[in-house]
Amino acid sequence: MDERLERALEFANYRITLSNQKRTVRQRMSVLTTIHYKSGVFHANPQTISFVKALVDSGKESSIILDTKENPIEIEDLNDLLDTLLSSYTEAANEYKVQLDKIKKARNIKSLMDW
Amino acid sequence: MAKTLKKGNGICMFAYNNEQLDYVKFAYVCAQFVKRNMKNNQVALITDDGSYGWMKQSIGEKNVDAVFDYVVIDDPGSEADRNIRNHHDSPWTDFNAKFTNTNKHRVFNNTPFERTLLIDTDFLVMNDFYDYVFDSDFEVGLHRYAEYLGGEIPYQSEVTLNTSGINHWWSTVVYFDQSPLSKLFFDIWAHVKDNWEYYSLLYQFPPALFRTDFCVSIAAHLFNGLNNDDFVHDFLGTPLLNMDQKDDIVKFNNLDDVIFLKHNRQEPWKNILMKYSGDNLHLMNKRAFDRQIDFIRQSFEGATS
Repeated sequence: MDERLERALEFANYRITLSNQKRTVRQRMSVLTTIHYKSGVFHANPQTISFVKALVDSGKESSIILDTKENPIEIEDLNDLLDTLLSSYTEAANEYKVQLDKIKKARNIKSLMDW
Repeated sequence: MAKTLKKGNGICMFAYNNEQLDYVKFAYVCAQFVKRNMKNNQVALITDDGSYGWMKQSIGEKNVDAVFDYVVIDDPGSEADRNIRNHHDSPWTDFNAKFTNTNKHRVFNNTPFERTLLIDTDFLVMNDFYDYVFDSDFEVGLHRYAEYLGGEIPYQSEVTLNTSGINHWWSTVVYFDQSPLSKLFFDIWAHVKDNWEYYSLLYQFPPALFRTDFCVSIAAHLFNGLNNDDFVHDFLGTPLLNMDQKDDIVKFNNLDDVIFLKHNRQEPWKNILMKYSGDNLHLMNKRAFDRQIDFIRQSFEGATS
C-alpha cells in the first residue's frame, strides 16, 4: 500500500476512535447528572439548577416541581435539592473535563486506549 | 430453601454450569465487582448442587465464602435441558449451549433479601449507580432501554417484541421488593413461562428459545396498564450498556477500565477499539469474558494483598 495512504488511513482510524471516545465520555456525563430525588428523576443541568435557584431566590422553601417524566414531585426542602443538583453537576463536569483533557492529549489510538 | 424471614438489601445471581460455559466462575467475578463497587453489597448465589460443588473445588471454599454471603440451591429441573441457545464469539465463531433460565422467576422466593437486585452473571457492576434504588419506594425496576458499545441502537427485536409489538424490557438487571405487587409481577412471569407457546402467538415473537426478557416485557406491559405508563421503574431511563456477542474484549487495563474490539454490523470484518471506564457492562460474549477472568482474579488478589 502507498505509504501516504497507509498513514492517512491510520489517521482516519484514530479520528474515528477519538470521536467514539468523546461520545462515550459525554454519555457518562449524562448518566452521572441523572439523579433520583424524592421518587422523581431530575437532570442536574443548568436549566434545572437555574429553575430551582430561582425558586429559592424568590423566597420559597418548598415547591412542587415536574420531573423529567413530567410527574409532579413535592420538594419539601428546595435548598437540599439545589445542593444535590449542584454537587452532582460539579462532580460530573469535573470527571468530564479530566477525561476529555486526557483524550485531547492522546495523539494515537494506543494512548487513547491507555494501553 | 427453608422459608425464612427475608431481611435487608442485596444482590442475587443465578449460575448453572453447562458443558460450554463455567457460569459459577463468572458469578464469582461478578460478585467481586459488586463487593468492590456497591454499598448494598451482600450477595446471594442461586445454583444447583453440581455447579456449587465445582465452584468450591475450582475456586476454593474459602474464596467462595468470602464473596457469597448466601448460597441457595434450586434445581432448575429437566425443562432447562431443552433450552439451547446459539452463542457467538466474534462474527466468525458460534457454538450452542444449554441456557438455564426457566426458574429465574423463582428468585422472588429464593432471595434471602427484602429488597433485591437480580443481575445476570455476565453483568459487571463497575459503579454504585444501583444503590439509589434500595432507598426508593419502587416495587419493580428493569431496564427499558439499552445500547450497544459505541452508542449503537439495539436490534429491532430488543426494542419491541415484534415490528409493531409491545416494548422490550431487559431481565439482565431486575430490582424488586417483597410487596404483593412484586409477587404478582413474578407470578405473571411464571404464567407466561407456563404458557409460552400461547404468548409467542399472541405477542408474535419466535418461541424456539425461552427468553426471560420476553416474560418481563409482557409482565411490564400488563403492569403498565397495557400501555407505556411508568409503574415499572426504568432505572431513571438509563440504558443498559451491552457488549454484542460478536464484539471482543481486548484487555482490562485495570478493574475500572476495559478495552473492547467492536465489530461493524454492516461490514463485520471491520473493527474499532473502544474504551469504557467505570460503566456498568453487560458482557454478552461469554467466551470473551472467560478469556479475561484470570487477569481480573489476579487484579482482585493484588488489590486485597
